[in-house]
Amino acid sequence: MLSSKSGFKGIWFILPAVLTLLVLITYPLIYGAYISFFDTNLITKWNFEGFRYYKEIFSNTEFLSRIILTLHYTVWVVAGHFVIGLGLSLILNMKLKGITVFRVILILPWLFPEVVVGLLWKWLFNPLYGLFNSVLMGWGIIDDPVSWLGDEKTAFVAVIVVSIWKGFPMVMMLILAGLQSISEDVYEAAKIDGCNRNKAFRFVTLPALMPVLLVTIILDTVWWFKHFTMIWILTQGGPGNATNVVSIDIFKQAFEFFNFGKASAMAILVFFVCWLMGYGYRRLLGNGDD
Amino acid sequence: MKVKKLGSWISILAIMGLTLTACGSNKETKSNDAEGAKQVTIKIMSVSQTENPDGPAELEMAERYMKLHPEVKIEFIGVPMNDLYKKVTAMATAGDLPDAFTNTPQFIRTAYGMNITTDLTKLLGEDYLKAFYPNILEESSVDGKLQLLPWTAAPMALVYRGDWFEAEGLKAPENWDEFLDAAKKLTKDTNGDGKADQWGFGMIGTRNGSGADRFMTVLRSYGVDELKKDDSGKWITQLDTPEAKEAFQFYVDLNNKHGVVPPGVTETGFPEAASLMATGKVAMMLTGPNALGNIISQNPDLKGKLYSTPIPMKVKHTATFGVLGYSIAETSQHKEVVADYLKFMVNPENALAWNTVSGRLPTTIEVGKQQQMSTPEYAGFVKALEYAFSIPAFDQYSQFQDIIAEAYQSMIAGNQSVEQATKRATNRANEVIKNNK
Repeated sequence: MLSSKSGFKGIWFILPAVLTLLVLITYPLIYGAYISFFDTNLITKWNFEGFRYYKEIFSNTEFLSRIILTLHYTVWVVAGHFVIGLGLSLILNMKLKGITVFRVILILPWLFPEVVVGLLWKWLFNPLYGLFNSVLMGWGIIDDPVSWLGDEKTAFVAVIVVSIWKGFPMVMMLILAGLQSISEDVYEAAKIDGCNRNKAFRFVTLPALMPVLLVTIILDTVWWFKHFTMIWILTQGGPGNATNVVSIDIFKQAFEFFNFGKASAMAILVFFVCWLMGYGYRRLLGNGDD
Repeated sequence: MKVKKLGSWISILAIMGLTLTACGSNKETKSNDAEGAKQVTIKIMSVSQTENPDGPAELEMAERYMKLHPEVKIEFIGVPMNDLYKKVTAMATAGDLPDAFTNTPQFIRTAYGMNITTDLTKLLGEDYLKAFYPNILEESSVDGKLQLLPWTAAPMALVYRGDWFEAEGLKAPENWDEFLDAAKKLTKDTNGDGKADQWGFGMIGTRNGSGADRFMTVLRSYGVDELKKDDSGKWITQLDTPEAKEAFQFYVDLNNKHGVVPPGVTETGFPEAASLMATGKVAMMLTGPNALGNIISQNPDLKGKLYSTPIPMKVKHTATFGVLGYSIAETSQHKEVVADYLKFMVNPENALAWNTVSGRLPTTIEVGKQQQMSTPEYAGFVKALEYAFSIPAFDQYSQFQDIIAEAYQSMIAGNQSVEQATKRATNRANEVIKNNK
């Protein structure tokens, strides 16, 4: 049992972390929720509106359709990250000559700032000067330049491709770290028990990786559900509403239409959606203890 | 151990003391500069700083002012036009506004509502303001209080390749039929590979204010007001009228049906369109005179080949004022100094020099009469000022830009019919009007 003196000391140890969390996370969250009840310009106008913005959001299907579009986008991006990330991490986990070089190269997309990636791909997709059109026309696959970001059908796919390219290294590195923490002894034991490679993957690797996969999938899903920068640079939510995910809608409400109250109400709802997704993942994939 | 700890504390305090002394002496040196006069630093947030050739030219003008007034130091904060309102709002919320910031008539009502702008009518005096075009002053004021000193006007007009038009025997288009005819004639395959590589019209189709403002002038040329007050003083929209549908259909058909626009129209913003014009890919674009400076700085060979004419009409010519100027922050401690610098910027000599560099038009009556305004490059813009309409004094007006841009993008990229697109636009517009307080 701790003495009261050592308990008091303990408070001092956790105080910096508690204060940091209060200032950087709790306060903005509460302030955001507070703003959502006001028609405000954040400086001179503070008209209390109660739940007006929440009612407005739920009274039409606009917000729901944005959430569905964002979920659609997130599912494809996260699936892409996991397929590519898992595949590459398994390869990078092999003891091959020069594998370190590939590890460095494959992590590069994650190191580029999102703004740079957005601009880079925007140029690649450009219908007049872009590399893709030039190559595809050179190979005779297309006759005329395609406006990849200017057509509702291709823009959404293009944005997903860029997001997968940017985000797979994080998943790859996390899974690789998880793979490297699995002891060789377990594989040897499995081999003695008659496991072939596929069975070892199914009965040893996957269960051992599950805690890493769970954390990674929660982080990746929430991260890309809220994603803004690259979509804004590539399409600004267009053409039409083809890539108008919820973060872009919130940004426009706040900084183009100056409806800070409504934007905050939407952000609070997104927070709950993210929380629900995390909860759902833990229930589905976790061990049930949490 | 204790001695060691004490020693460390003394060292830290000594370093801090020395640093503070150094800072203090630096400040003192500064304030003793300029023959003992007190040094004043003014911070200006400027969109010109992110543009070429405007940025270096504005810097050079500020340097000339600083030479004349050694006690004043001007520091610029560059911000792209598309981020201006967000940045001003964020800085105002944080209580960190610079002394002056670029402002436009689109944002003055929002800024006025935040109480962040100084009333320039009072600060500059009514006598001084008599030198400016009255309609431009009106456009820059809220409730009779001048919110920004109008530095330049960039009325929307049609810029076209005069040399190509002459070679084809075309006249400057007076109406949309002539415009379409010219656009078709100037859409060509110049290298003989069977595909068009030169287009008649550099349409700006991005979903932002830049794209929407351009289409708004087309819409108004069809006699449609996206937002206006009816006879009873109630706000209404005309986006569901047959004229509005005709305007949308005409604009979209330029790309979808007639093919007189380069591929990727919804991705083409102002910088892209200006580059297309500079590289000889397009013959016409709807723009302000600032495009002239931008295009010629990219391709000096085009000097004298770009002409301007008012926006073609269906029922009337139209234009936006395109006023750009500086507001002085209410929180500024140096309002008089900033005002003096702003007066320096708009004096006749600087206004003409600025027009030569950037292409933007001056805002004072005397300077507007100068010879260089009547060249084929500028004549159309000067004429366009006669047709300029004021932006409705509606707090949520920026939503209308998004509503309109969404409609034309949906028609261009999503093959929505004009009925579907204008119906949604009208519903959104009515919703905004309903929520306006």
